[in-house]
Amino acid sequence: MSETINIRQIAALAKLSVAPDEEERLSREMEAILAFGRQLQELPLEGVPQTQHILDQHAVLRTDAVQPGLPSCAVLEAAPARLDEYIAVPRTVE
Amino acid sequence: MAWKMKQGYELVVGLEVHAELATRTKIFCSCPTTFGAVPNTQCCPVCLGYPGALPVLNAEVVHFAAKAGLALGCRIARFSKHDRKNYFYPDLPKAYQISQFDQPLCEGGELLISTAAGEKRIGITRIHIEEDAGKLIHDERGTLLDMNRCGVPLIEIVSEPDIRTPEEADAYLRKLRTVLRYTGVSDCRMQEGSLRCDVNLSIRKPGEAFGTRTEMKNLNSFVSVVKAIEAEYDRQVSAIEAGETILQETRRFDQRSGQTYAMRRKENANDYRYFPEPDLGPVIVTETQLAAWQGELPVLPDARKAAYMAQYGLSAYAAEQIVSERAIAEYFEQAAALSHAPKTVANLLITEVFRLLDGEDAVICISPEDLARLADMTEDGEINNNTAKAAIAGVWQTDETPEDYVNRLGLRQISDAAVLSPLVRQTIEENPKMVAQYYGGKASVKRAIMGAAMRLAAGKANPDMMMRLVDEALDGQENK
Amino acid sequence: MSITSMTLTALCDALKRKELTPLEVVRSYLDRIHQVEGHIGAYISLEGENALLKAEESMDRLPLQGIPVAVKDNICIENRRMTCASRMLEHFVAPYSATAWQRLERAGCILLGKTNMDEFGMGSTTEHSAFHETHNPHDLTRVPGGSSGGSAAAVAAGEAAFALGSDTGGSIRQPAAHCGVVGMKPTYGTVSRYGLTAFASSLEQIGPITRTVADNALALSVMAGCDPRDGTSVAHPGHFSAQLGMDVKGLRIGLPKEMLAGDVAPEIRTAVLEAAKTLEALGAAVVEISMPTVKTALPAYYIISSAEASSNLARFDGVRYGSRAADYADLDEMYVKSRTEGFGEEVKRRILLGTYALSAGYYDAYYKRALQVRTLVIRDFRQAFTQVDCLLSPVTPQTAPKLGELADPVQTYQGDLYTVTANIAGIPALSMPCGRDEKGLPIGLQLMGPAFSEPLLYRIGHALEAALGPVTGEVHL
Repeated sequence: MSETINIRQIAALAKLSVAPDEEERLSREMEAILAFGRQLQELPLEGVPQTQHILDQHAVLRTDAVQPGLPSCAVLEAAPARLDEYIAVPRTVE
Repeated sequence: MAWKMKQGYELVVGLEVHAELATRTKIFCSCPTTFGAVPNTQCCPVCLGYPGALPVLNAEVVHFAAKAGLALGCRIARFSKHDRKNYFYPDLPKAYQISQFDQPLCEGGELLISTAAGEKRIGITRIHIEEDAGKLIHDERGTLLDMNRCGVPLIEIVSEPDIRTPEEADAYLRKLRTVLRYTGVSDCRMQEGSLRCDVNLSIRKPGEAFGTRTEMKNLNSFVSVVKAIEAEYDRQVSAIEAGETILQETRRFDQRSGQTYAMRRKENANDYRYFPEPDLGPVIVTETQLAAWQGELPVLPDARKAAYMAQYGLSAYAAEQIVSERAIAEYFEQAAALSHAPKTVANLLITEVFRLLDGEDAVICISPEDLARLADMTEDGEINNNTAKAAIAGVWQTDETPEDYVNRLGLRQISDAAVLSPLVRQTIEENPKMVAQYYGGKASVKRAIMGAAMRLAAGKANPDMMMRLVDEALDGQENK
Repeated sequence: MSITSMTLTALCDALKRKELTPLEVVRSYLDRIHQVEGHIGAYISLEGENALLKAEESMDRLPLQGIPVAVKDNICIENRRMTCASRMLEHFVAPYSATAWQRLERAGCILLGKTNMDEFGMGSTTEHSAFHETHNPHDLTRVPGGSSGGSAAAVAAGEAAFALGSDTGGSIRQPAAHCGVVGMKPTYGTVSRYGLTAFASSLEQIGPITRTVADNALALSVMAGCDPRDGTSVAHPGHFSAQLGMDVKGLRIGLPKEMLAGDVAPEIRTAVLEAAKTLEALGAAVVEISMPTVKTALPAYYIISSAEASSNLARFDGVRYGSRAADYADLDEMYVKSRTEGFGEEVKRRILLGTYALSAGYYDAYYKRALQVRTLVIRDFRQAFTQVDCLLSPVTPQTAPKLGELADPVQTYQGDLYTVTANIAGIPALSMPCGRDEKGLPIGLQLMGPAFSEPLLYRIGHALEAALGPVTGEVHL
C-alpha cells in the first residue's frame, strides 16, 4: 500500500503550520517513522483482539455530589485574554 | 399560505436530539450544573481541560441515561465505552469531546407519535452519553466564553430517518420531551438549552434510495425545527428540479429570512479521529441495576392515555392533553378517583385549569379534592359549567372551598321546576312577538326565548332543566 | 559523610532520631544546589528560601519529614509554575497539586524545585527542553538522558534527596541508567496520574528516582495509592519494602534473548551478563528465554503514544491558559500560530505522526493494529512469567551520548527498544546501576516483573546492589 503523506492536511487537522522549507524534511522524517510503523502491517493479526485498557479495567464511578472547583478569579487570571467575567477569544464564525 | 409538500418528492428526516441530564454535578467532574450562574464560577481543572486533569464518570449519569433508554424501549448495553471525538473549537477545552462512538449505552428503541394523519412509530437508533461544551456569546466587543456549561452531561438521542412530514417532526419532539420529563432525567427546556435538536434532511422520489442529506444544527425551538425542515425541503426540491446536486453539508437556518444557508465549508471538513478514551474504564450496567431502574420508571404517557380512555371514557384528544405532563396526569388521576364524573374533571382540567396555568412548571392551585367536588356539583346539576369554571378561577390560590365559594356568591344553580316554571311562563307572557315567530315556524327563536328566561333567572338556572321547561311550555302549549 | 550524600533511608532515620533537623537538611541541599547547579542545569525553577520556610514549619513524626525533593516540571504543584519545558506553558501556574505530590507533601516532603525535561516528555536526552540543557553529572559534556533528565541529574549530583520523574516509554529508567541512579516505572495504575500532564495516557506512570533500591521502595510506598480522581488508578496490593533483605535463592531470572541479540554496546552486554552471574552466585537460576513480540512493541509504542499525545496536547490551544500568539487575523490563525510558536520540533513531529495514525483511512492500518500488537505483547509477558519470576535486560543500547550529537529520529526511537515493552504491557520495571563503561559512564540494568511485583523487583535489586557494591563512580563537581 503506497501512501503519500499530505503534511499540509495533517498539520491543518492538528492546527500546526509547517514552513515550506520544512515541509520536505518533515515529510521524509514522517515517511521514515511510518515505514518503521508499517512493520505492524506485516504481522499476522487476524483474530487478535485489541487491548484498549491494560490491567482489566473495572468501572470507576463517582457519586453525584458537588465539590468545590476553582474560583473564577483563578480561571480568568490564567486566561490569555478576558473581558469582564468572560474569557475572550477571537470571533468565531457561525 | 400554508406550506405544502411537492408532489413526487418524499421528505426524509432524522432528528438528533441532545438533552441535558438533570444530575447535580457534571458528567466527569464534581462541579454543579445549575443553570444561570455567574459566568466561569462552576469550573474546575477537569472541565477546563487544564494539564494533568482526568475525567471520572458520574454514576448518576449512567442511571439517568439508562432510564431514558428504558422509557424509549431501547436495549441497554451491559458494557459500553467512551471515545474521544477530536476537533478544535473555543468552547471545547480539551479539543476533544468525550462521547461514545461505536458502543453506545442504548440501542434500538422507538417512540409512538400521533398526528392528524394518525399514529406512527418512529424508530430510535441509539442513545449515548457525552459531555456538553462551554457557551460562546457574541457581542460587539468580540466572542466571549463561559465555561459553566462545559461538562454538563448530555444524552444524544438519534432517530431513524422515519420522519416524513414537518408535523411528524414536531410530534416526535413533543412526545420525546414529554417522555423524558416523565422519567425526570431531564427538564427539556429548549429555551434554556437543555433540549437541542439537529435535523438531518434529504429528499427522494418514491422508491429511490435515500438522497444526500444535509444537516441543520442548533435550532432552538420546535417552531424553528418545523420551519427549517420546510425551508430546506423546498430548497432541495428546487435544486433537484434545476438539475443541481445536493452537497452533504451543514446548514444554518435563519429565522428572519426563513431560509437555510451553508455554513463555511471548513467546518464541514472535520475528521474526528475517534479513538477509545484511555482515561476511562468501560461503562458497566448490571442486571440488578437494570431491574431496579426499570422499576423506577413511572407509568408512561401512552399507557396512561390508554387507561384514561378505557377506564374513564375520555376522548383521545382529552387524554392526550392530560398526559402531556406527568404532574398533570397524576393530578388528574387523584381528582378522577375522588369524583363520579371523571369526564367532567378532565374537561374542567383542560379548559379552565390549563388556562390559569402560567408557564411550564406552574403549580395547579386548586386541590384535586376541590376540582373533583366541582366536577361532581356540575354533573349533579348543582352548578352549571360556567359557574364551575368561575369557581376554579375564584378559589385558585385561596383557601376557600368550592362549596363556600358557590354559596358565598349564591351561584348555586336552580334546578327546581317549581321555581323555574313561573319564570318560563313569565318569559312567554312578556315576549309575545318571539312566541308568535316560533309558532310561525322559526324554530331558532326557541334559543332566544330560552336566553330571555335564563336572564330572568339571573343566569342561575340549570340550562338543561330550563330547556326542558321551555320545550314543554312552547310545545306543550301548542298541543293544548 | 555530607548530608547531601546520605541515602533517603539514612536521612529519614537521622531526622527521626533528631540527629538532624529539617532546616539543616534543606540548607545543605540549597547550598549544594548553589554549588553545582550552574554546571548541571537540572532545575527549571527553584524554591530557594521558600524551602527553608517550609523546613521551619515542618511537622514531627511524618514518614518523610523534612526530606527535600525535586519534581519533574510536568507534575502540577499548586501555585507553582509548571512549564513542561515548553514555551507553550512558559508562564503557566498550576492551580492545583497532583495527587502524588500531595501524598509526599502530607508525609513531610519539602519541594526544592521543578526539574528540566524534554518538552512534554518527548525525547531521550533532555535536549528538547525549550529552555536549557541539563548536563550529566558524571560527564558534563554528556546528556543525562530523558525525558526525566533533570530529575535523574539532580539525584546523581546530590541536588535532591530523591526526585519524581514520569515514564511513558523509558523516561525514568533511561536517565536513571545514564546518571547511575535507581528509577522505577511502577505497574500502570499504581501512582495516580491526576496532575501529571498527559503525554500518552495508557502508558505512563509517575515514579521515584533515588540513590538506592531501598530508597526507591520507601518513596514509592508514600506516593502510591488508589485515587478517586484518576479512573485508571488501582489499589496496589503489595507492600513495596516488604521483601527487602530477603535472599534470591530459588528465584528464576529470565534473559530475553531477543533483547540481548539487539544492537547493544558490548560493555553494556557484558555488565548485564555479569550481573546475571552475580545473581546466580546468590542462588538464583538464570535462564535464557524467548520473547518473540519484543521487537513489535517498539512500532506499536510509537503509534499508540503519538496518537494519544496528538489528542492530549490538543488542549494547548491558547484559549484558556498558556501562551497565545501576539497577533492573528482570526480564530484559526490564533490556533495555528499559538501552537506552532509554542511547540518545539520533536513535539510537532509526534503530534503530526499521531494525527496521521488516527486519521480517516489510516486508523485500522496503524492504531488498531498497534492495539492488537499490545495484546500479543501482554500475552508474551504472561507466558514468560509462567517460566520465570522476573526478566533481566539492558536499559539502553549505549551509555550517555555527548550533548549536541544529532541523531535522526528513527535511530533515536530505536534506542527505546528495551524500555517501551514494560509500558506497553503495564508491568513494573526497575532500572539500577550495574557498572561503568571504560569512559567511566554509568551502565544500568532493568528488572521487569508481572503486574504488582514491585516488592519482588526491589528484593532482587536490593540483593544485587549489595552484592555488586558501589559500581558508579563518585560525581566530581
